[in-house]
Amino acid sequence: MQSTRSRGHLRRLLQQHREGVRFCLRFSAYTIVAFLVLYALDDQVVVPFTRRIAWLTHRLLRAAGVQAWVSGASVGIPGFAVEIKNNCNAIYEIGLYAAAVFAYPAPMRERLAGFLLGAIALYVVNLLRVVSLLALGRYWPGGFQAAHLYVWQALFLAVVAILWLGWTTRVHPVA
Amino acid sequence: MPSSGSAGLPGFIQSLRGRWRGALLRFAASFALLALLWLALAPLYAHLLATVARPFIPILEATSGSRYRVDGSTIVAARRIPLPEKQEVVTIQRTLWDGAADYNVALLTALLLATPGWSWRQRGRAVGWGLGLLVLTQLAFLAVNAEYTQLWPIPTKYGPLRPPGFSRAKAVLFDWLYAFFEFMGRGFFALLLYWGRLALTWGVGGQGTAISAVGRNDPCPCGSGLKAKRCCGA
Repeated sequence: MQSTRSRGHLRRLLQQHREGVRFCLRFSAYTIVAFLVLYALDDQVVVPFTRRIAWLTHRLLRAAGVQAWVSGASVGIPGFAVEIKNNCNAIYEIGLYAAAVFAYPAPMRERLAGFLLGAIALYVVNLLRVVSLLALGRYWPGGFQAAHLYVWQALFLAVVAILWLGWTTRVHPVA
Repeated sequence: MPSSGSAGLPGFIQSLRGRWRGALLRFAASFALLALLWLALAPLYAHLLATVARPFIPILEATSGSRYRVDGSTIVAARRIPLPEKQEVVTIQRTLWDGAADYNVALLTALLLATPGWSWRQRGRAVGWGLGLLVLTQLAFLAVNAEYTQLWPIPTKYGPLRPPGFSRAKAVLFDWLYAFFEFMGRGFFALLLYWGRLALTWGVGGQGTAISAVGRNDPCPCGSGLKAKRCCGA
């Protein structure tokens, strides 16, 4: 009797939150798919992507008149250098953002536009992260670890959350 | 203040338009405060995880005599591995979990506390459920890491030796699992849980009730620039 009632309650609850549960399931599934694809294509996609960030950072610094050098995924300025690794290339964060955007029930065109604009924004923010970490390492080495492991990492995820929330305020959800 | 939970996610999103500055400020302040608090709480949290994990040592560990100890905010597995051919026992230590740079708890709590339109009771429940689920994900990571680190070569004075129970398939499986949990552990679980919690406000009201989440004096969600009471909410 008790179990029938609780089963009925659970069914009603699922019915009531159908859209939300569907989003959660889709979002989780897309996140796993994004991870699997990126992890499987590490050499083909992630490594060249990371090297491109190092190269772009180097070009940006050069354009600003800084004596910068680049070698593979490493980029440096006089007195300090960083090697860009998986944690700092934003590609997995872009994957997570894509999972959230494509799981949201919006028209496909809006989802594609949201993904592209968000991915570009995250890429640019990541370039800022690398440049700021280089500057921090050069002028305040003591603060580098905390900024790298804690502040920027969390800030970057907050940017992902804000971008997604910002995008959802501009799209028209479909049932 | 109307509750966004009563108007579904679209309602929450609409109400966010008018209150995003306050929400952002609350998030930044809560996150900074919680991150500082975490410096003191991380060792306690490590003790909590280790206490929950210890009863599972016989299942997780291949060799008897292994134990998990907490060193600051780090959980370390101390393993005694007998080398039958050499007639000796080596003791190795592997880090299973490091709470020093873990910001999942601070991030999830700050996001939930900053979310506009929820009552304190709703926030409290969301934080409780969120942290409970987060602990489960971290326990799962700890379990995967316990298995993963047992597949590493054992350093001995005779050179690195293959660990007992090693198989290529197991190494590949746990390499992927470890990478997945490591990737998700960078705050992704916190975001997943937060967005999941937001999504659960869906369907309660749905699109049609989006306006009800916007205060009468808030800007109208249609973007006209008028107050809701003078526009669509009239």
